[in-house]
Amino acid sequence: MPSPLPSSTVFEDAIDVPLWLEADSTTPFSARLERDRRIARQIAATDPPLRIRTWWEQIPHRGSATGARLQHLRRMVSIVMGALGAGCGVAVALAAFHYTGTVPVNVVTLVAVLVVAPLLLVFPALLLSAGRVPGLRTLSAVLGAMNPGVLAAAVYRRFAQLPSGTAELFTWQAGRTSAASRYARWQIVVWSQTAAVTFNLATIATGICLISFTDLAFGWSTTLAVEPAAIHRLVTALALPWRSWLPGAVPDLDLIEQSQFFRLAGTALPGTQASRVLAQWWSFVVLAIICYGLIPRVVLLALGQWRLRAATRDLLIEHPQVTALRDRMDSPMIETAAHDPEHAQLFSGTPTVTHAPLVAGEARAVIWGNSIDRDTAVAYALEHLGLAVAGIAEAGGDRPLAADSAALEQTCANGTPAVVVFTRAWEPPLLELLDYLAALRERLGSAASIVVAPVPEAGGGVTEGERATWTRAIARLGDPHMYVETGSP
Amino acid sequence: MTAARTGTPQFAIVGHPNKGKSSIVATLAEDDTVAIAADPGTTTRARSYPMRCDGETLYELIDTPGFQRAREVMAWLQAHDRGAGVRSDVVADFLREHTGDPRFHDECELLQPILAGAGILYVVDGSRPYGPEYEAEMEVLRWTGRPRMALINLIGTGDHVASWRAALGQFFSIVRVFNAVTADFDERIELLRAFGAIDERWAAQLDRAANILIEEREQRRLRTATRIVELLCSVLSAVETTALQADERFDPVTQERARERLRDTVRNKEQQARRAVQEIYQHAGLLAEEQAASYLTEDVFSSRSFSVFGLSAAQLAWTGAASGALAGGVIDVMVGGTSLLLGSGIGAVIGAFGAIAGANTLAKVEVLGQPIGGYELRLGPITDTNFPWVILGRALLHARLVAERNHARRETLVVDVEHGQHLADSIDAERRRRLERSFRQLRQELSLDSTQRSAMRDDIAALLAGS
Repeated sequence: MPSPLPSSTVFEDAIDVPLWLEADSTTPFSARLERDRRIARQIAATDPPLRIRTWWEQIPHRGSATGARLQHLRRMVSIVMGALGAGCGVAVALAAFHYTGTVPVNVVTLVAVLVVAPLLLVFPALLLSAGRVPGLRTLSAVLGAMNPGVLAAAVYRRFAQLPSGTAELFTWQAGRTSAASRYARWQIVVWSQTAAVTFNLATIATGICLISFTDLAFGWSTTLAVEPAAIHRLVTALALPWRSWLPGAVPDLDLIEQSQFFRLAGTALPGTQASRVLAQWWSFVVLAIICYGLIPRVVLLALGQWRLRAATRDLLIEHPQVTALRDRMDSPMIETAAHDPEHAQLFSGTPTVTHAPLVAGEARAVIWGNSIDRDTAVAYALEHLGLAVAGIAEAGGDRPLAADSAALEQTCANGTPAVVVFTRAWEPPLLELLDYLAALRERLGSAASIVVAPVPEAGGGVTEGERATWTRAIARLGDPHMYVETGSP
Repeated sequence: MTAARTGTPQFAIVGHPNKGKSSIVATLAEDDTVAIAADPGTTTRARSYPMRCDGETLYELIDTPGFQRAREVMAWLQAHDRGAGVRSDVVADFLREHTGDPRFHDECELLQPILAGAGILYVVDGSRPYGPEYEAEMEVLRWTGRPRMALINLIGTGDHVASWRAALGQFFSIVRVFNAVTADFDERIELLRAFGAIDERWAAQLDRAANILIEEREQRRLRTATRIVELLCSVLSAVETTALQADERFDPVTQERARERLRDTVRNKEQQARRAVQEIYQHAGLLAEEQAASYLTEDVFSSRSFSVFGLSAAQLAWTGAASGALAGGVIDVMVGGTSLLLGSGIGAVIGAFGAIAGANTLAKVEVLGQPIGGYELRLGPITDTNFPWVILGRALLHARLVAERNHARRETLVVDVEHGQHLADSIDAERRRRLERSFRQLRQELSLDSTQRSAMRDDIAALLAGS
């Protein structure tokens, strides 16, 4: 499908956009997705190159000039190929129409050089356009190497300072992707056919100039035993495209008979009248070059331009980076993550214990949140903490706040050198418990030891993680006589 | 105006500290920036995780700090109770009175979105025993009067789900078990749809969100497959060239350097592809451990070739022959064919030999400061037939692990190379044949057209889906 954009713009985009996207691939995927979808939602166009162009215009890309530079060079190569073709055309025409005044210009040679040979050379050009033909790979490679377009591409590649990955666009049969391969093929076809068209135009122009400004005489001669009638049939067949509307440009049998010459006979020099008759060949010669030399090349050039335009479009839209871009542009933007930054407070490490642990003695106990039953608490304190429990109070859990106060009163009555607070090891140290520990400290005074004893689930042990969590939480209180003791596992 | 007021479902994830609220949010929101830690108080502020499709919010999750002084809040509420019909007003009074009070900072943070209209997802740890101390916070939530669901998360290996179910059933009409760390995509979608049961007005919107997420999942699979195709195309056609001096013929040191560069190229391409796949699944920060594959041993094709203007010696010879023939042909024409095309023939022979013989001299010529030809050492493409299968197996395994990876998990992803090889080996015969055809084409330095690439992508997407 043709794009409404000029082919040169699409070519520049096909170079610049993938290069920029390649560099942009370090941008986080989610950021690219958000950016490209946001831009795409404002674009009404449906034509892919146009969508990409509109997207490109909204991207701050600091005016990448690589595509424009390559486009400029591409145009230069086209001009040089045109000039080379024209130069060759003039040279070949001067040689082909060469007339010394002794022997007429041989129409057989003219047709062979300017009609048959160019017509035969159309087939290699068609083979080149067809790309890889199964079974003809070697022939294609040979023809490719001989093609002036391939040579032009090689020179272009050498001097264009192509960015990485784009050299294949100007290398015959080297494209890493299908689109690159197609692009290379049609670019080469266009360059070679540009030269061919200007060659034929120059040939015709030179021929017409020679006919107009010099007195040429045409005749026909061949070593083979060919009757004039056979030649007449041949020229009539060749003149098929124009004989119905330009009958004067078809040599008749009389002219053919009159214009046959033999160099050996030495009678080839025509008189003035005869020379005028022989000059009638010119219209046939010029129309033959136009029909069989110029027109096929113009058609091939037009085909090449058309396919090059499509290949340039594909080069852009089939590039993997651009395919990914189109996917990002066309897919709904799904977000599930938070937009605001995380404000979490992270704690880590295990603080160094700076107090002297209570080795043995007597202590009162508080069971917080039904963490352990009374009998087990006594045995646990003795076994794991080396403490004899002198009295037990219960607080926390589902008890009312008044129960906490009562437990506090009971624990701190008459003073005590140490208090063990049993709590569930797997539960986190809530502020509610830390409030209670602070109240306990206040009532006990700063000298009494407060041992926080996280107890494990029945049948288990306190894990390293649980121990670290409790130790960190109690250490943050900054109380030198309050510490965590989990005892032996 | 809050999302809830506009009809967008909002869910506040609340509960005791350290029971996996943030893990559930990380899993459902696919956000690995969510801080998950064992210490209470890690989450200090409510944080919103809106699910948006092209800017339209379909639902919103709100992670909140845990209850710290639930019994005190309950005591306040009871002290200010004005009857069952206005209990949510009492909670609002509590909020008004204590907003800004550092003592009840966490409770205010978690009650705020609930009173603004969010549904409640109450999270407990079913691997630890139930305790009556949870009742105060469940009661506070009941007082808000908002629709609510309980989620039994399983952090550890214990199983106390039955006792939790019994207790939660007293306060919540819907109780579900959901393991935030092991839940796969289907379980997450199922849970999302279940949120619709909290308030029937939200069901259609949540269904739509679930369908969009399923489509997005498929899109991700295709994007991943496309990225793997790109990886295969680039590594199978990777070529390393080194410009050589004329006397530097097959120097082993130069060859080894080029080989090392080719190895690095393949490794870098693999790593780039891994990162891209992780980004597709929103696992950009994920660390992966993977053994280096032992490719590039005896399989690297190496050659020394000559070029002028990028043409090979054969191309150069043909070009010379053609040029010679053209020049000779002009002479033939000028002599009116009397040379019997000898000019073209001789010109072609001279041109071909001249082009080859003069190539060395030409190679040294510089035009506008640029050498126009020279020798180069060329390594690659890698011709070992097993090579693409090694790359594919590893890529498939990595992609599958990343796709299944839960965002609540924080440990390093380990990619077992042997498992990857096993995956590649277990590809069914028909698909294997199709892929091998594409690999062969790439090895022969032939490109894949867009249809072939699409077919290869679809095959890989099917392999990623496990079919």
